[in-house]
Amino acid sequence: MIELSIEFAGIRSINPFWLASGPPTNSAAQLNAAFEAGFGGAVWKTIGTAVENVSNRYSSYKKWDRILGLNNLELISDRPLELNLKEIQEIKKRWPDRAVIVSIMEEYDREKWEELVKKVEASGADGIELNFGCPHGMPERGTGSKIGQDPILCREVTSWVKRVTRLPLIVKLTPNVTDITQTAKAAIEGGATALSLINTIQSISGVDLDTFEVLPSIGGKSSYGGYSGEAIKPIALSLTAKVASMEMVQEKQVPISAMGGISTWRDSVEFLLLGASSVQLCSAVMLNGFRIIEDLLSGLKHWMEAKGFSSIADFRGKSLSHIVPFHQLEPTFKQIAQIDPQKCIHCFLCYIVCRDAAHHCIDLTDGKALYPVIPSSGKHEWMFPKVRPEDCVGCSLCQHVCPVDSCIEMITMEAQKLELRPGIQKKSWEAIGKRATGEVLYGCSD
Amino acid sequence: MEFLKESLPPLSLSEAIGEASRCLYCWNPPCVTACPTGIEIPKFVKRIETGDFRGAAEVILKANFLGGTCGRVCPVEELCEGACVLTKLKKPSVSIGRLQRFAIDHFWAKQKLPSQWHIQIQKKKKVAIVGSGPAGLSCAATLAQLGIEAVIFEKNRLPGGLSTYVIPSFREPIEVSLKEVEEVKKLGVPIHTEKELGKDFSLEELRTAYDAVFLAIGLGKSPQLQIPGEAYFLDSLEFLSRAKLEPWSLPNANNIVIIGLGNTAIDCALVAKKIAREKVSILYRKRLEESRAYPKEIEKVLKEAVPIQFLTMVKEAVVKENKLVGLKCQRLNPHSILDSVGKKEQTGIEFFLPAELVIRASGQQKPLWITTMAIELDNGFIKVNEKYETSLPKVYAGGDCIRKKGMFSTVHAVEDGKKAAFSLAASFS
Repeated sequence: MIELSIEFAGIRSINPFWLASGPPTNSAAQLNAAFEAGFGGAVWKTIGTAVENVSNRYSSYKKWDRILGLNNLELISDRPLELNLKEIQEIKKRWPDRAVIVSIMEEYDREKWEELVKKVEASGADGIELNFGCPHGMPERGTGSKIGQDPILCREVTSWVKRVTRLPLIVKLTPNVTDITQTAKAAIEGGATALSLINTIQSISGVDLDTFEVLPSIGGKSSYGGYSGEAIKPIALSLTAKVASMEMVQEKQVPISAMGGISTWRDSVEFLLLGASSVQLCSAVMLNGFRIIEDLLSGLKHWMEAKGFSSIADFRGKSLSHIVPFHQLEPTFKQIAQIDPQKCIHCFLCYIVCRDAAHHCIDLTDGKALYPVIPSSGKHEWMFPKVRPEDCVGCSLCQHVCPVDSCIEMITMEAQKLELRPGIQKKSWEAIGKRATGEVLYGCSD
Repeated sequence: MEFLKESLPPLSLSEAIGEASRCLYCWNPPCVTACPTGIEIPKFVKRIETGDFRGAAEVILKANFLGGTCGRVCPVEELCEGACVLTKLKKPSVSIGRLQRFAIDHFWAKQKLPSQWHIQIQKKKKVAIVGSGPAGLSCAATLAQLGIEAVIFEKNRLPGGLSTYVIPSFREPIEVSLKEVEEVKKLGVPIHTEKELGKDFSLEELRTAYDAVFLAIGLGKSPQLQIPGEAYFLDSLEFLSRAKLEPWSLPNANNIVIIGLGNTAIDCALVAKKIAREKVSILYRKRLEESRAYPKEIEKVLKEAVPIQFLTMVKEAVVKENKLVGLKCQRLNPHSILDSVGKKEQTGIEFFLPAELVIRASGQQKPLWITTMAIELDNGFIKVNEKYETSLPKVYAGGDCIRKKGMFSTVHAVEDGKKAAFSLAASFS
């Protein structure tokens, strides 16, 4: 029996998939549709300070017809506050088993924050998320990532809110900082019961080469936007792992709701494996609609079945132990590339990248013996890319550019064979450090 | 008229970019090796992908001045696209031909050749080119870019050779061919039309007046079948050229029969299919595996539901009241073996096939007058060495008139012209 439900900082949710605060969570009608489709929760689009949005607020980073990333200049909710609160109340009443969390943001003014928090609490919401991450528009008014980038402000504003609410308090972190653990720490010290990350990454998605305008062009002008979508996933994964590995987070068992480029169940599982307790999606829904939840649920369930997991807790954070400081990596672990001549299609991409950008250890050799039948299209097909194992450092660049499935494989070398080779010593950096001083030289992990 | 339109629509901007993005950008790629003119295909394809259409066209034109024609008429399945590594992954190859057409059409429609392509022609050496088909044009364009003066003599009213007169419009509209002719002229090459070698001037006269001569005279009409009533048949080249230039002059026919199964015969069948009221059929004296047509082309006629009768020969034309009404045919013994002259034992049944129009497409004949020139031949074709030099000093030749065997398409003629031009230039220096 697979159990997908979770409890996140006391908030119950039938599954770990939440809608992130953003355009898809702007009204009761949308949340209603999302919950009907199957989402386990939603973070209501940030309410607070009155704003006025601009037209043409999106631009995308595309590779032909595929959107890799989405850049937005949309501000927080521009609907009347009272209407938002009324709808939040209605939707929570209608969907008691779903997580309804309200994202809030105010200017740097304690009274304003307190007043807003009280109103949200009265709406019956399950929790509050502090939007300390918006990188566009709001920072100019002293809020959004302006607060989230400064640990002192982050701690202070969190504590203002904490003092006036008993609701679970999630602080949403911005990735636009040098060290996210500093702001994560500040938020916990200020009283955050949970963390969510990442907010969008400040971006410019492109420049029009005919008009010289920056995209999206809003009457000829543009501004720095927030970047989201598939392209940011590796950054979000890394920051999630960093925060989840913090001593303070682990000691206090601070739950993390992760987001940033999640569009499939596979992405979601990766975040859960790196310590997230719930995941949030926005761009993927903006590009495909709420229906994607069915595929997320199906994929997650089947993967859990295959792996023998019965609940999310069974595998949450399971991959964190595989991250170590660089100096703890094993220098004698050695792989070399091996190219399968029967699968090779002779595009020679491996050859050219190895020659120009790696360790020039792929030769084009006479492959006559390998190809007994003369291929129809040209003499050069006799050539075959072959790795010189003694010079291959196992960087794997060739494997990445190879368009053929499992044509290039990275073969792990046996340690004793390696020892026979000059220049390779069977000792780790850490061991070297210990031997020299009796202490670990490279002890600092962050 | 439907058959005057190009059958493949041009790629739209987004189609072209999307298709270009499929190219793996191979190093030392097989598509380039397979291209007789050696166009750097991945380079121009990537330039299309990034929107540098002008840069794409320059890559193509540098290697093949008739890129617009070749992008349309090349047997790409046999050449670049057939070699595309994607096919080894059981994926469709990159549509190189259509991408090339996209780049070149885009270029000629909006751009001019870069100024550095217009070399000051030096009046030191002068080359006479006979024939303005792909080989002649390619030679002229290459010479012009090398700064060597060239003049083209063309026997027909319009320049362009087979591209202008014979390649069916559904493959290449006449405008494409004439545009390329114009661009060659712009490089500083005059084309004198309705000037025929052996009639308006002799080879000797050219050799005296010019520093060198390049013969790109192509081939002639189909050889006679030597059967009664043959005068009622239409030659394949004439049929195709009338279909392309003056389609109204073609006779109305319920049934059209094509004799032969080469690539020209297939073009005839595909054009005939669009004008015949009832049925088009092909009669072929040999077996399927003996046809020199590209397999893809044979597939095309079969898809168009044109029946092909193999091992069938035409005995005579059946004429009533001075009008062709059909053919008397005979099946050949399927077990008979070709003898040394290619004749088969005639033991099969005889039958009548109704036809109001019969097209003779059983190969092209070498121009008769070649034999009257003091030039060495090889099986009826002009004999050349690897420098495209004939047996006569200062006389070079290329294109269909030298190709005695192997695959031969427009692109090979373009390469002949290009290489001959380099040989000519080398001989002057």
